[in-house]
Amino acid sequence: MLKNQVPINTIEITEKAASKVKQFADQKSMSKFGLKVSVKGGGCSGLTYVLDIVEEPDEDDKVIKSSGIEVYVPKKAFVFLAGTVLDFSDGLNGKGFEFYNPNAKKSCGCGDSFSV
Amino acid sequence: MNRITTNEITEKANIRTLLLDDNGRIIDNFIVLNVNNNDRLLISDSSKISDLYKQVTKYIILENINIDDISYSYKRISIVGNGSCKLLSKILKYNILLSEKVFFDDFSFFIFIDKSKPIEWIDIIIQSKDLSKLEKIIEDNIPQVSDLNFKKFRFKYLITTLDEVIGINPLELSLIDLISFSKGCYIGQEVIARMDTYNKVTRKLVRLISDFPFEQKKLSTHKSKNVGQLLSILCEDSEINTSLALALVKNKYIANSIFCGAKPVFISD
Repeated sequence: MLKNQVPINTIEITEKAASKVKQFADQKSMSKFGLKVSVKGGGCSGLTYVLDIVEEPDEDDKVIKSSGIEVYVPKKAFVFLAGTVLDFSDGLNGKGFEFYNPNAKKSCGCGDSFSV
Repeated sequence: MNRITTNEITEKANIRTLLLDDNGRIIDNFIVLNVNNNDRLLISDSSKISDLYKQVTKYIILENINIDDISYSYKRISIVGNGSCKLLSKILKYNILLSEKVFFDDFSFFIFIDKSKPIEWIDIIIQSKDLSKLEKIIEDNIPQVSDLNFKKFRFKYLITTLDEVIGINPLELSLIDLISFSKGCYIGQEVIARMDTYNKVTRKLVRLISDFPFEQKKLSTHKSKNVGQLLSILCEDSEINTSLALALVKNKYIANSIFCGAKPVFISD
């Protein structure tokens, strides 16, 4: 999926990434869950992605449905993530969850950190 | 703080650290003091506190953190030179072994032993309202130096001020004690790690001496090849009739003849 195919007022999660999230939720025996996608300050390039599987959204989270799962994004973090596609790269040399963020002007080598 | 600065900031940390940009260049050099479980005091070397405030605030997104500029309510006294620790211990009748908060009669202050400096260096951070009380105790025993003499002292020990090195890579300044190579990611870490791993530090901090005033910041070979840059100049020293400067010089030219403008300069031991 190309990053410019995603409307800038949302974020999307690919089928592959969604399936991996479901797998992690199953391992935790969570019947109700959503993927919390957030951003914290720090990391090589200044901002770092944060992923977590949670039972429900916080009050100020934006709730987005994509590929059959709910994605929760704190409103303050959404400004850095709008238009992002979350994919999953598996295999021995896979990078795990990968972010294609149109707001990122620069990313670090491992892809966990970015600057806008 | 640990995610954005170069040194390991632990819960009980009293430590000096750097804030870099994502190209690994210095933005600020500051001390982090542990006031209590929730509060940290950041003592910036910058003449513009607002820069540190702005930079740290930029990286607070979801965290419940408040930053206030309280520079008006604190003062710093630096006691420098070999024997400082011993002398201060004697004056205060308190054995100074660690960077910590010290309670003294009816007031308190922080003592920070700065191990990143090439010579004994103690910073005392005290509330402005208590400054006169401390000054009364130490002024008779510790002489105050003029700005010029302090600059001469700095030049002797290759100590730069923050304002002289903003935008410079800390490895070029040998500020290795301010960088943790085991803590993980921080802003600029990729550049620092790469330069260290592949030994890509190409410039070195040196003291230059010249019989002429330094006319420009750029240093060159006799063929006008760029050799480095001046960071700070000590105006003509009337006592010895020479000019001094701190400069970054490319390693491969250190043994060569170096010029500032058309005038020769020499690296001083």
